[in-house]
Amino acid sequence: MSELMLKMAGVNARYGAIQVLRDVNLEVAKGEVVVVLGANGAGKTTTLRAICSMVATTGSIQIAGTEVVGKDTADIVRMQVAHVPQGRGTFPELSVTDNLMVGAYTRKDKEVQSDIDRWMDAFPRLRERRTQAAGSLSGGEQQMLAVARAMMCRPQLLLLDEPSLGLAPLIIEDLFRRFGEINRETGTTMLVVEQNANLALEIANRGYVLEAGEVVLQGSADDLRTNEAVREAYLGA
Amino acid sequence: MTAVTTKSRGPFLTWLKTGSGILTAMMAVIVIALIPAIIQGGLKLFLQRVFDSLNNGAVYAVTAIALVIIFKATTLINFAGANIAMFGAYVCWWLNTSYGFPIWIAVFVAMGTMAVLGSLIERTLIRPFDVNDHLPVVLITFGIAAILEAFAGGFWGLEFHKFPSPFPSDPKDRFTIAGAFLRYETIGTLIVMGLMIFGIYLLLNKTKVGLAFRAVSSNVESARLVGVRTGRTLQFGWALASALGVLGACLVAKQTNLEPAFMAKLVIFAFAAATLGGLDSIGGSVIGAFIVAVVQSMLTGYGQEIPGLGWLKSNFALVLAFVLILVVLLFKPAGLYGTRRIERV
Amino acid sequence: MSGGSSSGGAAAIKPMYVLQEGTSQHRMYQAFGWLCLAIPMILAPYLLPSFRVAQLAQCAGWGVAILGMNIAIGWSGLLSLGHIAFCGMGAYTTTILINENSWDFWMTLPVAFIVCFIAGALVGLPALKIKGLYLALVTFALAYTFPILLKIEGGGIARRTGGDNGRNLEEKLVPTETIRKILFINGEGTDESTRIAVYKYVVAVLVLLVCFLIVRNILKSRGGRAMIALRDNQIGAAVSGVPLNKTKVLAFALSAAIAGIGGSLIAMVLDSVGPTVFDANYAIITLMGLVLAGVGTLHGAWLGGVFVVFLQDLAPRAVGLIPVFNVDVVYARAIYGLMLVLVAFFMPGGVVSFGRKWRARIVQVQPKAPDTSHLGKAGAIPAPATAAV
Repeated sequence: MSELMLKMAGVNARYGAIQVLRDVNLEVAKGEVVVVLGANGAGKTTTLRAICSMVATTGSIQIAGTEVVGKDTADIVRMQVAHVPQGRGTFPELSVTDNLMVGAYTRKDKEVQSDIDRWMDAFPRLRERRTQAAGSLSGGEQQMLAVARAMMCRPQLLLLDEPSLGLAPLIIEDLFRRFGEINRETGTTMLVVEQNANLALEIANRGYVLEAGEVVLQGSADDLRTNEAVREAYLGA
Repeated sequence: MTAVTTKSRGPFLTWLKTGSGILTAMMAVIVIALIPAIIQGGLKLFLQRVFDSLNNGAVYAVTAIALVIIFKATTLINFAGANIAMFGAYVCWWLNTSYGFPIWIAVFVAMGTMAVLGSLIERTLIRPFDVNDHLPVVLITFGIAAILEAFAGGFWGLEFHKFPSPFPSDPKDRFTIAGAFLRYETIGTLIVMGLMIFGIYLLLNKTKVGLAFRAVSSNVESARLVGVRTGRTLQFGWALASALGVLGACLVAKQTNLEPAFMAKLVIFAFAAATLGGLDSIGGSVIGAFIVAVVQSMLTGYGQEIPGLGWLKSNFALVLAFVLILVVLLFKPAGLYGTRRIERV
Repeated sequence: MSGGSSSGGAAAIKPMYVLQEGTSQHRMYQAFGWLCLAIPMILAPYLLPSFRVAQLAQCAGWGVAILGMNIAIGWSGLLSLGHIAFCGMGAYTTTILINENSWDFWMTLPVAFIVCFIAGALVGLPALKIKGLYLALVTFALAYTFPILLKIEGGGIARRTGGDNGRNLEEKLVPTETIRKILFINGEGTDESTRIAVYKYVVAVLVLLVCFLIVRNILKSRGGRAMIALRDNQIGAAVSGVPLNKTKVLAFALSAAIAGIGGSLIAMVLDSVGPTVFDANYAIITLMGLVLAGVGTLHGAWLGGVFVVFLQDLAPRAVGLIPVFNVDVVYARAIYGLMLVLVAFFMPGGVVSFGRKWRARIVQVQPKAPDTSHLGKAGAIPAPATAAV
């Protein structure tokens, strides 16, 4: 059995008095791409936030075997977990280059600059706009920037929250293609939360479906794609 | 098929709406309005007033920057800042007059001490509160201001003290240009201000701490997600602002003399400067500081001669500062160079 | 679906009494509450020495001012630190009209209201564009500048306001024969100063009561709910059709107007006005009074004024109690500062919310379920669904 990068067991999460996640069990093996599907309000974003300890959580969340519930966000990030939040979370006033530099904040090695070059090669638009303020970039460019920034810390686990939100279809296709590439080339484990199930399932190995904070379905990507209920609800079939 | 044409605004009009545009327009208006008075008063008077405003401008700038640093990082306004600076100036004076510390050493020790105090304040009194709940922070910063004012008076007495000048300040220490005096002190203050701005620029743009600071100031959630310890960064911001405030206070104390309220009286000008320039723009607040100083100096000086304004007399400066603030806020709430985040959603 | 919709934050402690809204029990409880407030207030002027009564009249005046502040800060979420300037405007308006134009005190109240309403609207306009603490800073600048504006010598301003020294009211508020009979102060045992003190007290409390009722009704009205929506969730309010700009300006204007009435009352009680009563220092003191009493609470109005008047001497007296080092009176300000910090830490909801928590252990009022009989089955309220984000 391949190593588990992420293991969530019996996770409950709440915002104040409102319980959002109930008894969620979820596993991601090393090198896998796993997708979390669900409608608005199902708790997908909260799942990712729980992993980074940004919401009150009980239960067990293990990253590469280490328990992280109760840890500080900054410490979890230092375990090489990169989270691209919904809406991209770029630093609008900082330049593109600075955004990438800040992505490498926790690194102490000397290869930061070469990584910046590498990601700018992968996303030439970023190199073109490297001195521009991130807030002036288009949605698609900001998404690329956000992903590149996340990759700057050489994460072992990459969390992506609705990367397709607000983007044009062609750009989304390109984006997901690149996710697939990143996974193949770097072996980064990825947990992707999406409403746009079609594309997500194409690059994923496995998936989970969340409804009202609970996992109602899980399986391989192929199984989910052919599953009747999923097709009706999320694939617009 | 008819083509749809839109009227394009000339590039001049577009520029006029930017910070630099408004600035130039303002200066042009002021200069034009004052030309008759300037000509009448003569070159020497004019130059003298310019030199005076340089001095004030530098002081306002240093204080304004301290305000801006806190605001940039936290969107908090530090009502205690003025009195933290004041207390630091007292410490400096005390070290110099009672213990014989050389003046610049005393200044740096005072800056360091208040930096420590500032970071303690952030850690214990500010951090526990939710960023969106402003009322407790207002009360706390006012409380700190009152406590510091009381202790300054308690330790060192309420009477005015003379503050030693950090620069050669013999009355003969000055340049004479076309009959007007430009004191060494003024030049010294400007140099210090310049060094400070340069230092901050280096800090913010070339160091890791500076990057963290800018990240937190830009998007605090994302900053957490890249591993920045936001609490410590904010603490650092407070320490830095406190130290800078003390520096500003030490530069000006010679002219206003030490008393517990001396910085509080000054801070409204720094605030006007920062508002004018943009509360989250360091460069903007420096420019704002000089505008405030120049306008204050010019109008207070020449204003007597302009019919209708003479009645404002000595309190003119303060009223002017306030009017300036209001006018800027009505037309461009973010100030000349501020970003839109200051504006209400 | 797993059960257990958690009830939001309600007290886990079972209250001693549970009353249904609208029942006679409930009404008795409400009457009891009002009596608890009313009886001491009615008896006070007869039981206390006249200087205390005058102090209480001052408390009522500040109470109105705080009520005004609450409209902006507490119910609309507009952090204005400058309302003391509006109090000052009201006070000086009253003084000038009485002294220069020989007006009657009562007639000056509507004028003060209107003047401050307009001033508030003018200040509210730039407030449309500025956020939170930044607004606090700008309004504080207003409070800081107001005493200086009073001293401007041009345009006859300083002459009218009395500049640094302020002005005394030339016509004091004196009770007439009939009023003396109504208030039971006509006897030979009472001297003129007592009569005046009692009369002032009654006037101030009545005005406070009227303002309280007006504000209460406004809060229940559409405009009031718009203000509260503004405070709680601007975007939600805008999307629901609340006219944000209009509401903000009106909230400011109204709060300024009521603060102005408070100022007029204070002028009446003190028989004088001066720049030191309406300066930046008092801006913070009234803010502290507001927070101590209860931000966003109506009943805070009764208490806020008490805090403003009495905390002032508390600080120096506390200093006197400290035996160490023969502490200088200068440190009174440090005690005051410490109080501000402590209030921020320990009483963010004020005495009123504190009192409510205790009351919740004794009595809980069950609101009436809305009448949906006319909607038939389809209109029946469903069981609460659990929210998930």
